[in-house]
Amino acid sequence: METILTRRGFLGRGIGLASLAATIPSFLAQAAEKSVGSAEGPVLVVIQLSGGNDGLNTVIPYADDAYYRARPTLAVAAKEVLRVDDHIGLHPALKPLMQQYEQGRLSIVQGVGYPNPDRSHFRSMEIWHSAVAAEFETSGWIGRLFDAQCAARSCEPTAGVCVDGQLSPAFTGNSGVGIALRDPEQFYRMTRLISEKPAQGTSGNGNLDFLRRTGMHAAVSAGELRQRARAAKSQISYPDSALAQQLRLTAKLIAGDLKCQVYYATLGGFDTHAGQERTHPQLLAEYAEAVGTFQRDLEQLGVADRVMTMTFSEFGRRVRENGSRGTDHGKAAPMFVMGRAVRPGLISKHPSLQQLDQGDLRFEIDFRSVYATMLAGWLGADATTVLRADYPRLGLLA
Amino acid sequence: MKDWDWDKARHLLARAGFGGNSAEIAAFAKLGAEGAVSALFADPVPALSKPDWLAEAMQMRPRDMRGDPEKRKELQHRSREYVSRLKAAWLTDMVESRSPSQMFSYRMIWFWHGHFATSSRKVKAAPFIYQQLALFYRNGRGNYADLLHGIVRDPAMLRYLDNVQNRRGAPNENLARELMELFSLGSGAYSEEDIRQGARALTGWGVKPWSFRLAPFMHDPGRKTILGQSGHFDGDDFVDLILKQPACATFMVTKLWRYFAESEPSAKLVGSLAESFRAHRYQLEPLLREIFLHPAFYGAAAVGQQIKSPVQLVVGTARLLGMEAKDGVALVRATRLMGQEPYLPPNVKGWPGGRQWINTSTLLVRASFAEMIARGQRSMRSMVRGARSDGDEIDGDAILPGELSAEEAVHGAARLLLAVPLAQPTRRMLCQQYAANRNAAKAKSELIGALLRLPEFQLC
Repeated sequence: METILTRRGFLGRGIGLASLAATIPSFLAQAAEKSVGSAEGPVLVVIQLSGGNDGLNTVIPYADDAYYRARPTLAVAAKEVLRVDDHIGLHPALKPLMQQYEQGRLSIVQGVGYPNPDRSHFRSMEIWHSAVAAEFETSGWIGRLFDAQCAARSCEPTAGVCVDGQLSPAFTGNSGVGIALRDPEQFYRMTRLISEKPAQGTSGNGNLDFLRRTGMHAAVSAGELRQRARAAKSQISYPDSALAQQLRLTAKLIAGDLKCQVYYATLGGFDTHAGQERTHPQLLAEYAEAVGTFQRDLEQLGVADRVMTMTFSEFGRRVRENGSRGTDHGKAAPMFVMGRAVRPGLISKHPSLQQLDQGDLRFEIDFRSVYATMLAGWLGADATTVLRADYPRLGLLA
Repeated sequence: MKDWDWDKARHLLARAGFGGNSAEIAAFAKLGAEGAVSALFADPVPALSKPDWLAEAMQMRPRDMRGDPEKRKELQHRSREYVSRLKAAWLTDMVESRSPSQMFSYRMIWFWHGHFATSSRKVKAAPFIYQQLALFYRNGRGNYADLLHGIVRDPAMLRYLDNVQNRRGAPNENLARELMELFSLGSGAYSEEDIRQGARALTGWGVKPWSFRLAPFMHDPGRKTILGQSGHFDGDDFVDLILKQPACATFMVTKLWRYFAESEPSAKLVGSLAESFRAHRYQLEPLLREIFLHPAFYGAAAVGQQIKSPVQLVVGTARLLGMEAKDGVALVRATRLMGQEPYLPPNVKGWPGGRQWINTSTLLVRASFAEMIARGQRSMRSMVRGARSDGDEIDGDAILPGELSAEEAVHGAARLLLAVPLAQPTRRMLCQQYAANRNAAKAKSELIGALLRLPEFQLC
């Protein structure tokens, strides 16, 4: 999918009309301490690895012969694996992530999935976004988080921000929270296209009011985002990669005191059906360097206490490599949870390579348990309402 | 219907079509209610021309896609290219529709596409997509029963809902379920057992290589009990049983009403439309005429209440501004960025529509689209080509002819482009800006551009 904000030719043409007046709707003017997301509150950063990350080559059971038998060309040599314990280790490209582990900032949740998994990217990702597997659910788990939180308190549209420029379906909800951008300066310029002084009060047409409100959210948030991004001064230099730049913006906004509770970043390309040995290590390296730098930046900016970063993919891949030196869609895979407040170590054990589910790794942990733990334990939200069911909590937090 | 007027004509064209220009609205206003509705059926449904790539595409057998990865990649790339061209041609045809009747046909074809949702992400081979689209073109304004019979034999649908894997002894219920839940009866009007038995009736209904083919040894010929009837049913029988259910007409008329009228229909209205639909044995024309002549269609709960879908917005705006669609691929791209690329519904339920179209991201895309189309910028020229050359702006005189005072211009433009009244402050501001513009042509084009940018323009 493309982002709209990178297209040139949209901008700088001098809009002939009055730009948005400074009228702030009442819901934005409410007392700061009542609003969701505050300058001291907890922040959750969600990183989505799109395409189905090969978990088996990410968190590697190097001591199990079955791994090498299943992957004659793709298996990582035992001596290259970054050992976590006597059974598993990380792919060598994940060195910066291993450093976080060694510093006690990382929890590795093994064997994450859900019952009756779907192998379609789109359907499985929908399930991770909605946290509902039994039927097609339009709302997203983050959307429902804000629905629950914004019922009693005021929510700024920037309480949730997608830093990859796409509003994730995980944010679909009724609260109006959710801004997508890559570059606050460009976003600000784009919102100047939403012109006209807003009419005071309501129009009598519910949809028109909704359209105006949404436009207002975008336009007013733009000013706020630009200001916050400019406020913080980071000393850390980030790699050039797309994910690193998304996390760089995230760090700026957190340190700039944006009232935002959830940030969402994405890295694609994990659908490694062929030639995996070329692509997967590069992706893992991009991921690890980005999050490693991000964590260092948060520490340096003095906000690391407030931030937890959770990484997932819509499924793992099959145990046996295919005929094209790649792997096909599978099931269970690991998740990473990173931050100062994490209880470091391993959750659960590596899925067995002997007891497989039709050639796939069986899941041990339902991903909604990870969501529930972060929702309740970290964000202080009502996880059961948001997820529409009770899921067992995990020992992810110190 | 009494009090047929310009506003009602405008509303009819906005919903049954993609919006009419001044001349079309005026003509419809003159025809009176029944004349105008009849005019929607005046032209034959446009033909879907056979794409030039079809013969070549049909040389590529689906099983070739599973061959060596390099060849597969190349075949997939070409197939994507063909599908892309098909979508582009479709949107272009819509923009270039020459009459309200043609627009209406396209609105019907689009309805069936959203109703029998199929995704080219899964059904990658272009000939399948083409054939399904051809089914909708052929029957779009015809008979719903024909469409339902057609869709259970449609290769794209058989593949999309995995019926090609539905075989005796190893049933796959996907098609049977969605056929009832989404395509005809709605949930609650059948049981899980009906799905299981219905799936049996559909066993062996597959595709080879590009057309429907019944694989007799895969078909379960046994006795089945579906929707209260027993027999040695096959797929056609299953469809016939569905069509006999009262819930079928009720479900379909509700969906069609909502698509065109947007308002929530009363139980009485649904009842009467359904009865009529059954009496006409699922012929679409009588039903649609009833919908378009119903007072509720023109009521406050309907007029100006519909958030334009991306296709309505992109096609309607381009057509209204009298622009020739040159690069259909860019039109498709615009719909994609707004969340409604043809043949890429989010899932088999199609596009939910309404407020789901709008979030801070998609609203910015719509605003940028309006900006580009208003400015006729170079970057826009790949999307739509105007009659003039460089920097071509909107042809204000063509859209708002004559010498107009500021009030006349604003009133006329708003009346043409908007389905909801302009707020007074906005009206005043636009009048001021119009009056301040020394160049009359520029004043008009800027006024129209300004209206395109308003949130009001997102409604029809």
